[in-house]
Amino acid sequence: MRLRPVPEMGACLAYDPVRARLATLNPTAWLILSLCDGRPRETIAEHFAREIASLPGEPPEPGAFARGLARLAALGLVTIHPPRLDRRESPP
Amino acid sequence: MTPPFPNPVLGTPPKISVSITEACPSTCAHCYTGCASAPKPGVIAVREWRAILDGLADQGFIKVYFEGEEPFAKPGFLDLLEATAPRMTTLVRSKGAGIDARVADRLAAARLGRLLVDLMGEDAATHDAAAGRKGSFAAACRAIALAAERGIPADALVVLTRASAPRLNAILALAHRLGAARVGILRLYPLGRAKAIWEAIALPLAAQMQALAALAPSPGLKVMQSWHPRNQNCCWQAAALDAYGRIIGCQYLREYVDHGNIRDRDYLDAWANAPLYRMLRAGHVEKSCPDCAASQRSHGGCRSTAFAFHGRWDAPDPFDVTLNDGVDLAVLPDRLREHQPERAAAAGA
Repeated sequence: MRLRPVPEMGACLAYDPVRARLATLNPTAWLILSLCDGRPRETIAEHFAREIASLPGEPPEPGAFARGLARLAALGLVTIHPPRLDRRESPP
Repeated sequence: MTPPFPNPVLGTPPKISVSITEACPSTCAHCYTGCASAPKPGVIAVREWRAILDGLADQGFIKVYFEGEEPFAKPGFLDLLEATAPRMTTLVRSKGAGIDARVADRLAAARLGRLLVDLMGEDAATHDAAAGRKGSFAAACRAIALAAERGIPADALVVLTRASAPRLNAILALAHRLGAARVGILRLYPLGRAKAIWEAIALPLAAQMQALAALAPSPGLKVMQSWHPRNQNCCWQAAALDAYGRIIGCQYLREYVDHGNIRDRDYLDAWANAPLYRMLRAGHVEKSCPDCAASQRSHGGCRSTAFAFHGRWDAPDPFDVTLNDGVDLAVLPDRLREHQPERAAAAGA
């Protein structure tokens, strides 16, 4: 996967060469993707909430993390592993 | 709104259009390049393109749109595509020449992002006559179908002319049957050979808008068009190279600008420092259409057609009904009849 931030547009382009897909991520999705580094889902969600709380402006709507993560998974940019003792979300 | 109307500002461009060759087996009467069947001297070879594209990927480009005239007419193009696709999403515009099942398999394996194929009619008689080559209709249809069968997103492209206008719905239906997900209706630009036959092929704006208003695409087929209210001034994000390596910003500016050559000028240096490029990207225009500005987040419409018909970079785009100012698009301006495609670097330097 290749990421191309476009901060002046408030977006990040994500290219998946396996699926030949170029996705445009809004800031919320971009943040979630950047946090998906193999840590457990709950840890990532907590980190996301802390990051959002430190930003100016209106907070995202409730459920933004779950929706954003689901969209990233649908795009194939992250893989959500089934819950286990050591639950993890990790990029492919 | 009070001028100047600035465009969005982009630090560096993430995508680029590359005209990979000026060779093409077709001899379209309206060809913007004046292409020939044989490669022209001075065009960049595939080996050199590979290094250029690697360098562009290193600089943050993430999408490349290959066009031609006919990319598949360039020996080694498939190899170039296969080398590029791992780093950048790839799109290719083609007339379908040379795309058979074997080539389509390679395109699928290379993970081509999208194939765009020109259709010039809904039947062989019309299309082949426009393309100047028997068999070109069959090649175009085959290319769309082969791509769609392999899961490669395929678009059809149609240039709006006097000949194509009454056939648009039939062409849309054909594209849908072949498996195209989208059809792009493109403006006719006064470039290349099109200038010599302009009055025979160009439509007045009212007729163009009538043709667009009459479009009836099949359910599920998306139609793209850049007339009002979707007229974008896309110079703010545009990056393009011609087949000789000239940095031109947009393929439709090929006869008007020259920001240097990629062989001896870094693209991002031209982006940041070439005076005319900076001016075009800044997007200061005399007038802005509020509807187009709202939908496209840019002002004034296409700079190529504005410059072509008015001779000024900040002029309004006459292809926009709200900015037309009485310009007859079916009549080629006298200045273009004498215009030679020398680069206008001095005009903006």
